[in-house]
Amino acid sequence: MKRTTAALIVTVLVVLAGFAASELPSEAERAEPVNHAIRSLADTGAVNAVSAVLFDYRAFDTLGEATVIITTAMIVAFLAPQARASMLSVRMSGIVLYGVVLLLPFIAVFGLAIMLYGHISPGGGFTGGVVLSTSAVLYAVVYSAGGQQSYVLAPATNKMIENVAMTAFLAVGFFGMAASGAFLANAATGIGLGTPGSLLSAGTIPLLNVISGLKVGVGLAIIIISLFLE
Amino acid sequence: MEAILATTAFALTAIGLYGLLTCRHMIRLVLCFNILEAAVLLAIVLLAYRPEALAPLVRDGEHAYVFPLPHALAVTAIVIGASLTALMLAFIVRIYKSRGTVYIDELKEWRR
Amino acid sequence: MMLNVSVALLCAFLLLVAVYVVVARSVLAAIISMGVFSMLVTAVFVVLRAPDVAVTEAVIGAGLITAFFVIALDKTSEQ
Repeated sequence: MKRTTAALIVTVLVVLAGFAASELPSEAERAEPVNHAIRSLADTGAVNAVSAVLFDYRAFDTLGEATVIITTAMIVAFLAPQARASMLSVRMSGIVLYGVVLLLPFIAVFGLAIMLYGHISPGGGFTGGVVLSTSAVLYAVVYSAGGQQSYVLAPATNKMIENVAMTAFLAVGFFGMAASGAFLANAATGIGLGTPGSLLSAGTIPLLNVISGLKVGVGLAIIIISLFLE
Repeated sequence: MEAILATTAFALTAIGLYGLLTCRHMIRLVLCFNILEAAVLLAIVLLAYRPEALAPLVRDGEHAYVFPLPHALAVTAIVIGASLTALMLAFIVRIYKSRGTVYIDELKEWRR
Repeated sequence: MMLNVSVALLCAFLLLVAVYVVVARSVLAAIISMGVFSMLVTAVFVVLRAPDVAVTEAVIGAGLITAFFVIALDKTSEQ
């Protein structure tokens, strides 16, 4: 498209949106915010209110998001031709090769810590899972020199972990259904919420954190490996 | 501060849209898509911000905390956006393998 | 006041980097600038008191997405 045409379209949009923005309520007209976060501590026992929303109030939406990631992994893995696959052709020096081996345990510990402490500090299952999948990127980039294929975990193991984690998520949901009649129920099932701020608190939230973290990490690792093999 | 950040989110939307309309390289289109996504996330998180409220890590019942629901939406949107980007890039690589080009205006005649 | 000035500077740099992503001549430069852009957005999220969003954006936007783009660029520029 011509630059002038594009600039014209964007300008028209900006003017229209400026009119819309002038109709928005001002600071004084805004309703006084209700302090929802304090109620979420009483409801779920999780210090991190974002985790409480993600894994307790709207845990069903999180299940849907996990389904989106597993679908994407399936599509990308389907696109990659496994038979005549080739990875990157860059050769790395010895410093990079040994440095990555030294770095991998630290990345794994960092990802697991973000996952396990998701209900009491910023982070959570998704972030920890992405950190774990970063180690898969690093290993595949560095050790796939000259066309050979190398993984932290074999692709079959990745897919197995993904399936087991998806089943475990559903199992936690059905446990809530059996105990209290609501899918993915947390406090209503009668498991103790514990002291807020301790590692074993907030009922099923740490469990769902770890499950979804493993799932997201392995799913993104499958996507990355498939992009490499493309 | 809210006015500055709202203007920034708005300008980022304009920049991303302009890039989507003018760029020819498909990978650059995906980059512009990511700029648009960041602008929307900025606007969503800005909705929850109150100057006197603290971050949503609840310590006691005395302070005010920002509303955590937009943050949860933003986290979900970021993770889904990452997998969407991966999907788009995989399709771009497929198009390059079969058509031999990454420029979108060379794909107008959709034939071999 | 001090916060306003620093946020305004941050936003100006953010817009500058975004414009560079659109107009940069080399696609690789645009991709690397996208990582810088993500880090600046992370800083804005920290100012907005959204630590969860900031951590996620830092890990995904600056780490994973950049790797995705570089891999795709490598795959589409070999002859």
